[in-house]
Amino acid sequence: MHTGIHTGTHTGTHAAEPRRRRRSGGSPGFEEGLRGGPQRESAPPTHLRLSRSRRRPAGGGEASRDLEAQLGRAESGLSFLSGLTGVRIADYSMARAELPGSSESAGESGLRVLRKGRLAGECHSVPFQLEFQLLETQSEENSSATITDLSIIVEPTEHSELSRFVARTEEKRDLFLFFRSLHFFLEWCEYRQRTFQYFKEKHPAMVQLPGGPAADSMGLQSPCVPGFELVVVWTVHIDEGGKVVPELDLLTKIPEQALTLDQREVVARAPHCFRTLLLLLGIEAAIDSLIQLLRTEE
Amino acid sequence: MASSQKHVFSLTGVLYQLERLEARDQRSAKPQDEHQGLQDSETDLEAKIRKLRKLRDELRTKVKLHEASARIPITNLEPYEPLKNSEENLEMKLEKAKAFFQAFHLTGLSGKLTTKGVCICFSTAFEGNILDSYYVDLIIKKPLTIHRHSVPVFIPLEQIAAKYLETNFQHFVYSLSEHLNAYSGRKYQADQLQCGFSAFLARPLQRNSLCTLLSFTYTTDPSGKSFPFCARLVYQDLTTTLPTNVTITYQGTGATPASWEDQRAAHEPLFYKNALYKVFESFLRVREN
Repeated sequence: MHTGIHTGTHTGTHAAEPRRRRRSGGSPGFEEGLRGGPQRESAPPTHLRLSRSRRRPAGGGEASRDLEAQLGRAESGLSFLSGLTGVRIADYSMARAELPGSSESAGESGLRVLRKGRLAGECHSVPFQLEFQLLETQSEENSSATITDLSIIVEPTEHSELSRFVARTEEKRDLFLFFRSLHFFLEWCEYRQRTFQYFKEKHPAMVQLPGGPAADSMGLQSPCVPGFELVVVWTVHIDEGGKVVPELDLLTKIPEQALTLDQREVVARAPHCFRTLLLLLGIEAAIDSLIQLLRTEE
Repeated sequence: MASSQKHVFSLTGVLYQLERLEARDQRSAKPQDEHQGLQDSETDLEAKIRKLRKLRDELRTKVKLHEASARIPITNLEPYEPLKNSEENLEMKLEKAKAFFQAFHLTGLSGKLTTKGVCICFSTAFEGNILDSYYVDLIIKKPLTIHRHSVPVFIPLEQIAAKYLETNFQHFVYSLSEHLNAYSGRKYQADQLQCGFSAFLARPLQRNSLCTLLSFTYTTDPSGKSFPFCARLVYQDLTTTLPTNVTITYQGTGATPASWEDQRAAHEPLFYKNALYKVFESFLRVREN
């Protein structure tokens, strides 16, 4: 008999942050971006020699060396930003567009400029494409900018949460929130996958990953006592405000016979106890203690 | 240091006055007059001019700083169309790199490498409205230190830095971005309520600097005939723009009619789920119907 007591556990991003066990501290791109600069200047690529010969000889060599240096600096700055934000830009364009309606209103309401832009790239290896319209208003007292239209396409992944979140963000036209929430969401998914894989590697006989390591549930079975199974369900949820909240639940699968012997209501209290365990020990230690619990039956 | 444009204009107003005074002095210095009295007043004026010049220079630097920090980077994006040319020469590559660099402002996080470290620019927005931007200047050395920043004092920058700066730099940046965006959003909502819906407010809006505690008295009928509602919104989570606690009470003598209680019960969930100005927009729509 399958007893599924489904209770939500809200472990907010402050209680148990994703811990990077396998990476050294600091974002790799940050230091890479800094190192990228000097290296570039010392080794001019071969195609430059061709362009140099096409230029006029007077001061031409210096100009291209200077351009090269500028390009090196720009590209190292770009790689620094990519490492910092996790966003890599593949394509970008921005153009001024016609304002809908009359242009005679420019006198009273101040200067209004409408820009249309496209941005495409990857955020933590999830490709995205977005188109937006930016309306800038400049009056005597202040200037303001508003995003008047936003359309986002994210490559469909196994994360169904994302499509709902993207639709909400398009409605609210919150461009920055898109990147921020996407970053936190993917970080949590990555952390979940690493954690599940870690436990699978450590206890291959006990741990089942029915949906694969990227899925949201992990089953724990005792090797010697068949029929008992604990399922840890870990969903990453993006709420209305764009906040990313991981939710962990515990489902139990107990044979009917054992349930009748359960006088102390261990099964009924299990999800609640797991929630307490999460708050006390954090995610990894809580799952580890569940595994130890099943192992001691040997 | 994200100041409003009004402040900048008052400073430039003073600069304009100083320039006029200087021009007047130059004009009045021309005719050579033997009168001692005039000469005395001239030396007085000279001293005054020197003092004012000094003040002008100080104010000019202040204006520059204010402009730099109050700038909304996303509006500085220059138009850029990539040329569909397979062989990109060096200049085109540089143009492209520079444009991509600017495009990072669209992600809300951008920055540049400085001589000693890096300067990160945080842009904030709320529901499509681009708001203030802040910067943090870091010096690269062991340990990473924050050299300068324009983050307001009530944002827990030191705590976030202590927690993440050394161990996970990306998380530090995103966590700070969360706090700043949430603060900007709350401030924007409070400002909109104060300016856009002042007819509904029986008393002015009261708030703390972090905008995590808002207290106001409103009516659904601006003509003042209905009983007022005294609302108190608490935002316990510094990274959200929606309140965690909403209490609506009646502060006055006498009993409240049943209709007031019904309205109160209907209003409370609205504040939990929607931005402040959206709630009042719905009041406006109800009144117009």
